[in-house]
Amino acid sequence: MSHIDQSTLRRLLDEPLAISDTQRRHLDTCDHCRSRAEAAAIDARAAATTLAVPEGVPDVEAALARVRAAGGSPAARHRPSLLDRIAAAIAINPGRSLRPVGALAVAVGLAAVLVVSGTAQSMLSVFEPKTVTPVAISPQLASFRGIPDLSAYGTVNPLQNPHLSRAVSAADASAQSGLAILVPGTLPRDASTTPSYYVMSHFNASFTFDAAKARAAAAALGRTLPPLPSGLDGTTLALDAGPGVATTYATANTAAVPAAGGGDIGSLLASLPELAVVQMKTPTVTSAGLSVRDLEHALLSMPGIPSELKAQIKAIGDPATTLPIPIPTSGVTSKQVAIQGVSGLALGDNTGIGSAVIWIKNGEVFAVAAQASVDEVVAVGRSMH
Amino acid sequence: MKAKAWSLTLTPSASGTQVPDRAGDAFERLFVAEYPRVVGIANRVLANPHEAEEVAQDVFISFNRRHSPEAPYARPWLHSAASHAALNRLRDNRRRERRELRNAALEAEVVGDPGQEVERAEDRQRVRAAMRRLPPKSASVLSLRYAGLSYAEVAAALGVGVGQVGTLLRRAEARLKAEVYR
Repeated sequence: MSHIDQSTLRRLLDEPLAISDTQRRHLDTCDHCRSRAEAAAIDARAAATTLAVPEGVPDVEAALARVRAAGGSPAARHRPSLLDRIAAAIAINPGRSLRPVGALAVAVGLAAVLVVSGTAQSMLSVFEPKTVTPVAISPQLASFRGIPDLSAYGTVNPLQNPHLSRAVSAADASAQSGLAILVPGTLPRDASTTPSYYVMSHFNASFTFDAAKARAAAAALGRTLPPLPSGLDGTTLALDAGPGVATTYATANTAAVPAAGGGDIGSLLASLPELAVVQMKTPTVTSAGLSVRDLEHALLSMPGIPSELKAQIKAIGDPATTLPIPIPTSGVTSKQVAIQGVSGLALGDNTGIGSAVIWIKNGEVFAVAAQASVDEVVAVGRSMH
Repeated sequence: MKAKAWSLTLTPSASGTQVPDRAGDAFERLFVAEYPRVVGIANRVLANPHEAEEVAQDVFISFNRRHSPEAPYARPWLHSAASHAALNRLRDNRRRERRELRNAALEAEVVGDPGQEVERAEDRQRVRAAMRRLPPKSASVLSLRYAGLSYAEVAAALGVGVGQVGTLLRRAEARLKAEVYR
């Protein structure tokens, strides 16, 4: 076939699915087209950097009031304020906007959860997860911060949040992250076909166990520290995670305004995309000396860890290869599903609005979250190629 | 939680007792859905969120005076107008810009942060200068696309076929790079 036209090569960066199979095959074998595509990607990346200007958060209600005052909208008088109406809408259906955030947080904030939550307690060893399993967290513990902070048991080296930067396309995200990015073959009905790409940098952190601190933490709880395995005091564990790529698809017709330059995972979540796909290298934890079981035993014997959580972590077959996903017991359901040739974990909230599926394959963690049913989300996950 | 997220959940109010004005409701819906994007488009050109909001409000006022919020062309009209209005403002503002840069330098002396304010103003000026020198269509396609509009939306705003957007964007990005790194 003849070479691919300039327009298609550029569009390919933003909408990888917009190219025909014939064109895809041609691109795979044609040096000329590939080099043109690369040149386009370089210019696009430069443009994205230049145009990543500081953004404010527009106050829509105030702006509407000003426009009405100036322009005289016919219905400006005697109507409930926008804020009243939004409040009414939320009161009618309180779960609608909050629940998906919970589901998305589980999926998109995977990296953050691993670092800040007690999940780390079960992987304090040579840890390289191959599979995922749910760990139920009761409503009293539903806030991840309710789980004891690791810093009470030792020294956590300054944890850096993974840096988030923008990529202009799946190809660019692949180039920046070094991951072969999978893209969904099918999208939920309402999702825009123009995704935004965020690249999370590689990051690591370390934790050094300190028996004196642990004793003090126990004393603060009015408890005595049980005997510790020899060699635990001073043991350092290193967490290594990322890089990863998050791809978000806005709701069609209300595409979110992309954040300028970097950002954090929280603000990514706050924009509530229709669909979010995360792919990242599986986190690993390495320890010098102590075995998985020694560490698990030592940490689970620490006071302050709820017994229900202990029981569940103990029940995990092989803690070195299993990634526990904290699931609030109320409002969230979970089930194992077959996906991409492995076993994944599908999560749905009871409103049926927010769902996610998480799986691990070939050393990478994948998560898909959407404001859709569990079945739809699983279908998106299965279509990824 | 940002207002943007809440706006996704906006449903007709159950609290209002009066019969809603149909046109008024449609305008509000349009405004809530499009205002952040219209600001985003203008901000790509102006690199100044406050100025971008002023432009966006002017665009909505102008739209509201002449058009129905239910017109099928409402959204493309707003997007296109946001880009044009921001570019017009940019061209009228060269003198003001030089003043702004001087002020940033003075401000920096006062607050004792010499580097940052000046750097920010310089970044802003670099974007504005490049956008001003680009052919209007190139500047428009960049502002629309990098504000998050899909190819179909960019095409509708520019009045071209979807197939042309890639070409326009490719050309505009090459020109922008040449302007910024010349």
